[in-house]
Amino acid sequence: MNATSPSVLKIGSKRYPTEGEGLFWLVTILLTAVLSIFSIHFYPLFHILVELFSVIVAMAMFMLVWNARHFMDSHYLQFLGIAFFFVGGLDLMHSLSHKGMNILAAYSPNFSLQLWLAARYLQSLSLLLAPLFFSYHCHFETVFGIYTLITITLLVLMVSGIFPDAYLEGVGLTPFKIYSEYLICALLGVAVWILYRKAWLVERMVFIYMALAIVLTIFSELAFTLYATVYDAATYLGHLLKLSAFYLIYKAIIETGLRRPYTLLFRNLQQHADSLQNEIHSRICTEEALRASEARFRRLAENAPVMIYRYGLHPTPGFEYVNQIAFSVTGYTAAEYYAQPDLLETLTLPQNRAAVRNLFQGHVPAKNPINCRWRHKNGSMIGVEHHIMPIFNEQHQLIALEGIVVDVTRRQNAEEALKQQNKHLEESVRLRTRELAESEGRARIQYKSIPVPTYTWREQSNDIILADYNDAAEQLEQDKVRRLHGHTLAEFYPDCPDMQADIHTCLHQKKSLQREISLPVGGSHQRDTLVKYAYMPPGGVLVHTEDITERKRAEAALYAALCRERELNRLKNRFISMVSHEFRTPMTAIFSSTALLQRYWPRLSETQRNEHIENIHNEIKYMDTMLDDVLALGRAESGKLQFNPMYFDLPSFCRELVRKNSAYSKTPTALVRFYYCPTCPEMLCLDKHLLRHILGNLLSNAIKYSPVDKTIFFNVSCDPTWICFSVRDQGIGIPTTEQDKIFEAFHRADNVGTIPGSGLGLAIVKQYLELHGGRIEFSSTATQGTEFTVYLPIMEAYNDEKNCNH
Amino acid sequence: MKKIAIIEDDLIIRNNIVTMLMLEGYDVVQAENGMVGVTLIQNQRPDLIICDIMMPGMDGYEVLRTVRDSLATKLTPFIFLTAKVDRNSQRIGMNTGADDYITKPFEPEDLLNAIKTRLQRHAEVENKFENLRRQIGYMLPHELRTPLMSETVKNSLSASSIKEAWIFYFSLSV
Repeated sequence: MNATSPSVLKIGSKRYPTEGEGLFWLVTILLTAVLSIFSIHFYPLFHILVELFSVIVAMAMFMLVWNARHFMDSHYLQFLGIAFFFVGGLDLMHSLSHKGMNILAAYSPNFSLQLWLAARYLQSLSLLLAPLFFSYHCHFETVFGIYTLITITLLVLMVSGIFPDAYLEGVGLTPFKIYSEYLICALLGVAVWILYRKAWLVERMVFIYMALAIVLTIFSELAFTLYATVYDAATYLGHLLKLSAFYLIYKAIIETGLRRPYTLLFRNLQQHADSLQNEIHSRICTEEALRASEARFRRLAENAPVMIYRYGLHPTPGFEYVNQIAFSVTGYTAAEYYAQPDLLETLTLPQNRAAVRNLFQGHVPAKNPINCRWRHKNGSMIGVEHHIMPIFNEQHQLIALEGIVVDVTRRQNAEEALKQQNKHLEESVRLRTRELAESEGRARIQYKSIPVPTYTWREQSNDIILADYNDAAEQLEQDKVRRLHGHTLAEFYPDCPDMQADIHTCLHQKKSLQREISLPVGGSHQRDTLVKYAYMPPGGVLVHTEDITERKRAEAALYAALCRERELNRLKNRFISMVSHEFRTPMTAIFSSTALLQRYWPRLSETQRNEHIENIHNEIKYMDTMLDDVLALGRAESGKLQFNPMYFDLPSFCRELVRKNSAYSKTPTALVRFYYCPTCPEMLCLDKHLLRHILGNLLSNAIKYSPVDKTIFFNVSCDPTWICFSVRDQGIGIPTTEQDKIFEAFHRADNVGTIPGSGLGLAIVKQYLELHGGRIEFSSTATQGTEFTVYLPIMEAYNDEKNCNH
Repeated sequence: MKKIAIIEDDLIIRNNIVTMLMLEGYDVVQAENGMVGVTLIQNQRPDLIICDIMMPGMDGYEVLRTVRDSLATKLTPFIFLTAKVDRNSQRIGMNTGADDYITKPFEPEDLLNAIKTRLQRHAEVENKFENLRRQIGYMLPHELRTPLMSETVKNSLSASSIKEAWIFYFSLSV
C-alpha cells in the first residue's frame, strides 16, 4: 500500500470520522476517568486493567493480523502484529507478576520489571526492525517462530537469573532498568526516525498512528524512568501512554489490515467502475470522434473531385460505395451503380475486361495506377487513371477493391495532342535540320564554286580576320590566302585603305555596298576590280573581288565600236538622204524640161526646145557621173575596191589627166600648168585607177572653183619614199569654218555658189588615198585659193617586179 | 498680172519653172540663192513666192522666216519646193508658216494648181481686208479722222507707222 492514489486517500479520509466517533471519545473519556479513579484508589486494579487492555489490544492486533494475513498486503503491519503478540504475552506475564497481584507471587517485583523491560526491548526492537518489512516479505510462520524462540529465551534467561536485575528490594530500580528505559527511548527515537525516513512507503494515516504510537511509547518510558515508587502519577501517565500507544498501533493495523483491505477492495471496485465509466465515456467519445471522422471522410470522399469507390467481393460482388463525382464521370446514377454488380466491367472497354476479372481474383497489377479508357454511359470515351487498392481480411482473402478513378480525358487528350505535336515538331525539326544541313552543304559548294574570288571576313575580338575563302580566291593567290588565313584585314590588304574602310563600313552599317577599285593581285600589278561587300550576320562580311580589267577593256572597245557604228549609221543615213536629194535635183530638172517640152511644145522656139533637150542630156550625164562617184565611194567604203598597183608612165598619165579635165567643160577654163620634177622616176608602181580618181577630182575641183583667168599649178615631186602631187589654185578657197568638213560626202562649202558638184569628190579622194596608203594635206584661204597636196608612198615592194603588174 | 518670185539654186530647174510660169502668163522674178531671194522679194513684192529648201548659204526656212518677219510680205503665199520628202521636213516647212509644200520632182500641173489656189485664197483675204478697210473708213466719223490728219499728227507720225497702226487696227477687226 505504498503507492497511494489521491482518490484512495480521499475515500479513506471521508469514511473515518463519520460514525461512532462521539461514542469512541465518550468511551475513552469514561475509561480514562474510571482508570484514573482506580489508579488513585486501587492501583493494582488500575495496573492490571491497563495492562490487560494493552494485552487485549495486542492480542486483538495479532488476531487481526492472523486472520487477515492472507489478504493483508502490508508486511510491516503483519510483522508488528506478530511482534505485539509476544509483547502482549510478556506484558500479560508482567501484569500477572505485578506486586499488587498475587497470582504469580513467587516472583519478585524484579521479575515483573524484568518482563516489563523484556517486553519493552522486544517492542522497541520490533518497532525498529518493522520498517524493514516495507520492502521485505514477512513470512508469518518464520517470524512467529523466531519471536517464540526469543520470548522463550528471554523467559529462560529471566527464570535462570541471567537476565540483569531491574529492581532490587530496598534499592529500588537498578541502573540497568533506568538505562534500559533510556536505551529503549533511544531505540524508539531511532525507530521514529527510520519510520519518518520511510514515511513515503506508508500510508499517511498509518504513519501518523505509528509515529504517534512510538512517540507515546517514548514518553511512557520516560515517565517510567521518573517514578520512584510504583504508585505514583508517572506510572499512571506511563501506563496510559503505553495503552494509548498500543491502541494507536491497533488502530494502525485495524486501519490498514482490516478496514483498509475492504476499502481497498471497494477502491478497486470503484476503480474498475471508474475505469469502466471512463471507458464507456471514452467509447462514446471515440464513437463520436469516429462518427465525426467518418462524416469528415465521407464528406471528403463525397466532395472529392475524383471518383472514389469501394467494390465489395464478399459475400456478393457489387459496389459498396461510390462518391458523387462518379455519376458525372461515368454518367451512371447511384441506383445503377449499386444495382449493377458488373458495372465495373461494363465501364471497362471489352479488351480490358479480362484484366478487371483478374482483379476480382486478386491479381492486382504491379503498375498502379492503371491508365485506361472507360466508356461513358452515353458511349463517349473517357480517359481514366485508375488507382486500385485491394483490401484483404485477416485470412489474406480479397474482400474488396477500393479505387480512385481520376478523369484524365482532358489531360490525356492534351497529352495526346502534345505528344502528336511533339512528334510533329520533332519530325519537322529533324526535317529542318536535315534541310539546313543540306542547304548548308549546298551553300558551301556554291560558295566554294563562285567563279569570283570571294573572301569571308569575320569580326573577332576587335579585329577583322580572314575566316574563309573560296576556290577562285585560292586559285588566284594560293600562297597569300593560305598564309594569311585567320590573319587580320590590315595584313591581307596592307596597301588598300579603301578596302579596309569599306569592310568596316559594311560591318558597322550592316549593309551591302560595292565599289570599283584597283587592287594589287598576284604580286604587284594592279587590276581593276569590282568589289562587292555583303553583310553576313553576325559580324561577317562576304567580299567578292571580281577582276573586271578585261571587261572594262572590252566595254571600252565595245563602246568605241558602238560610237563608231552609230556615227557610221548617222553618216549612212545622211548619205542616203543626200544621195536622194542629189539625184532628185537633176531628175527634177529633167522632169521639168520634159514637162515643158510636152506641155508647151508649140509655144517653144527651136532654140528653146534644143536647150531643153541639151539640159536633159547633161543632167542625165551628170547623174551618171554622180552615180559612178557614189558607187566608187560605196565600193571604197565597203572594201570591195582593191588596191591594184602597176607600173606605168606617170608623167604622161598626169598630162592626159590634165588635158581631159580641161576639155571637160565647154566653157573656157583656167589654165593648168603641169610640172613633173625631173628627179622623179617616170615609171612608178601605183594604182592607176585610184590615182585617176584622186588627181582627177582634185584637178576638176581646182578648175571648177577657179576663175578663168587664174592659173592652176599641178606639180609632181618626190623624195625617196614619197611621191608628192600638189594642186594649187587661186579660186574661191574654202572658208575656215568649213575646212574640217570638206572630206564628208555631199558636203559642199557655202561659197560654191552655182558651181555644180555632188560634194563627193573629196570624199572619194580621201577614201582612195587610204586604200593607196597615202595622205592628203591642204591649205586654203577663202577667195585666195587652195592647195591640195597628196603624198603616195614609193615603196620598194611596189617597185618590185614580182609585186607589181606591168 | 500676178508676180511670182522663184528662189532655186539649180539653174536648169529655175529656168524651167520660169519658162513654165511665163508661158502660163505670170510675171516672174528669180533668184539663185536665199540671200538674193530675200532682197528680190523685198524689192519686187511678189504676189507669191516659190522657194527651194536646200540651198547653199541661206536655206529655204530662213528665207521663209525673213519673209514672214517682214510686215509687207507677212501674208504673201509661200510655196516650198524641195527634194526633201521626209515627213519631218514637211512638218518643219508647214510649221514655219509655208502655205504649201511641193516635192521634187514635181508635176507642172501640181505646181500650177498650187500657185493658182494660193493666189485665189490670198485674193479672197485681200478682198475681205479691202472691204473691211473701206467699211471702217466709211463708218468712222469724220470728226474722229480730222484730228488724226491734223498737221501736228502728220508731223509726229511717219507714213509707215500710220500704215502699221491701221493694219493693226484691221487685224484687230478681223
